[in-house]
Amino acid sequence: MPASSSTERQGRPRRAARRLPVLALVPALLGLALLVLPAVALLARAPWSTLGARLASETVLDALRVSVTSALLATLVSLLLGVPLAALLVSADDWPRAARRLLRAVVTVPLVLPPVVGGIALLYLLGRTGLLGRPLEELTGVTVPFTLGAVVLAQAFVAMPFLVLSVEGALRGVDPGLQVAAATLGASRWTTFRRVTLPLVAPGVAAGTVLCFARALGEFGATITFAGTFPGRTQTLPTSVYLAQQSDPESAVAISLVLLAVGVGVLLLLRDRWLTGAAVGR
Amino acid sequence: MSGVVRPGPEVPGGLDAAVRVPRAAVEVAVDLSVAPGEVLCLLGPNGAGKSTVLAALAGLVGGPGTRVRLDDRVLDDEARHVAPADRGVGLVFQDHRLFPHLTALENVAFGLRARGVRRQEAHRTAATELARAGLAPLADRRPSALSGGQAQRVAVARALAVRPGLLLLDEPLAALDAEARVATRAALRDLLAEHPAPTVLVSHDPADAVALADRVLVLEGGRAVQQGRPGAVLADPWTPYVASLTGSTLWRPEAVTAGGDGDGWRAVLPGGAVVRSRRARTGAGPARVVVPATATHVTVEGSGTGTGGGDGVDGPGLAGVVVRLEPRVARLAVTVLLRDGVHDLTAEVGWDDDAARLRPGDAVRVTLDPERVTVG
Repeated sequence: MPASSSTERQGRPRRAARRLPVLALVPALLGLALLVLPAVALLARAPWSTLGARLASETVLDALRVSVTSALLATLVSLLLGVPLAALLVSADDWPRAARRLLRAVVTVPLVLPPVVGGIALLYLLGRTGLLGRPLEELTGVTVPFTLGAVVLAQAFVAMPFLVLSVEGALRGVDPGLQVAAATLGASRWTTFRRVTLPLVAPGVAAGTVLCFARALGEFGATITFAGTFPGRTQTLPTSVYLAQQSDPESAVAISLVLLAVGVGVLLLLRDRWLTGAAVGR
Repeated sequence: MSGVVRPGPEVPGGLDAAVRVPRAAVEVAVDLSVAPGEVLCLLGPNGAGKSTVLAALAGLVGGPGTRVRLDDRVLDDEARHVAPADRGVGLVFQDHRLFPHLTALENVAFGLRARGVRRQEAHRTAATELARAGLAPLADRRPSALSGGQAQRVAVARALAVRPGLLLLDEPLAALDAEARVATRAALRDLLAEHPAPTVLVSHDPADAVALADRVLVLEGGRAVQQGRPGAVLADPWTPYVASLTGSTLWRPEAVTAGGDGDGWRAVLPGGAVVRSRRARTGAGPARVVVPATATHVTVEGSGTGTGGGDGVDGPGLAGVVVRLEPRVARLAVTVLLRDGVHDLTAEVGWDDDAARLRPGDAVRVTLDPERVTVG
């Protein structure tokens, strides 16, 4: 009796405090509807009988191939550059305030920038008359825009910050005392990073990778501006949805379902732990 | 501090260090030498600079003037600083700092692997090390599945596995509960007894010094104030802090004279209070009066029944007011501020004593046992 009453005393008020007033419940449900109903509408309009044929069309399969290839490459680029960049963000704690803020702003800008602006910016950097694009073409004959490489760069530009912030959050969660302990055991900084830090941030890296891949796969604005929509070369699933919507709305719905399924799949992969912890990046 | 023994150049090995670290509050300036196999305990209150000395020996902090020599290697001097990873100095932390993603065995093998030892051989050595510490059954456990005491013993095994030329222990028992502390202290004692290199242990618990150390160096305010065998230091405190470790009170007298009544001595405190003793101290150190807490008798001052001894300067005992009561297990510690308003005294009274009902602010009179009070 005393034991059960004490657990009740601890358990009940907390649950009661969490109970929502009706006034807050109504907008909450409206918000939920705003998020869920569009997907329901999409499912309702899906051309189920012809779905298989539409998805097996050459245009869709090409777009799928380009999307998966470019998103995987963009994720790889983001991993190779983003993990060290996250480490740089953490070590920037010792920098002067202004420099630290500037670095953080630069890393975060793609998150708040309309992707189409990012695409235009990339064009002025790497286009044939661009800041780097012109000397690049003059020296090597290589042009970047409207190639698969351009798709990868556009996607990495938009998606990498997700990975960087996710990994940064995970790195900040690592007890610096463990790194000191590793050093006193004779570990070099590289050994410490590889054998202590990296394994400890692995869940954060995994979460960031999945988020980054999903964002790259869904990238539209920067891609269409910087890479165009050449079928088989630079046309991705999102850009093909946009084009199909003009001519063949049912195909657009079919491709949208594929992208929706990928999104849900990513959520299942991340599950609660990663989403609430490292993935948000604090 | 003249008490610090400096080994000559002929000393074959061990640690010889002069630590100078500027800090916001006080500069840490401590010279110390530790022979191979010797355990030195740095004892001191919080903020005395104990952990700073350890961090300097480990190469984690430093300052101009810091010199560290270990055996025939210079780790720090004006021209050189050997990085923590290259010093061959093992450090055990208060929070064990085991790597949470590795098993106990992999933790112990970590230092060997970092030095390029192949995995299989590193694991074999680590297993031997764990077995020596009596931890073999825990080899496959992650730190989260170890108790605090077990984790700390694994941390010691991890530090010892690389055969450090110097072992540093930073409050290794402070985070443990009372029971685990006793067991871990005993285990640590066995491991340290076999350890051939110098060991420096930091603690604020005199029990650690007595149980584990060959020598104790007391730090206060960033300086060494006393050193010697742990028992000798505690028995003959040079500062109020060291005296307080055993519950004693230490005063600095203005003058010590032979007592007028045949035998014994009189010590006069600044402010005029007089303490009588029949134990004159011999040996080194500053002049002082040491009163063990149990060498006292506290009587409650009846209201208005003055004893006629003036303001308590030379009456039967010392008059004062209770300023603090601190229950200890067997007895109650009563801190009394003398009438001079400067000196206070800690006395212990039994729970069934009248004095156990005292409240802060009560007037009392404390008589001292001249057979057990030391002056000199």
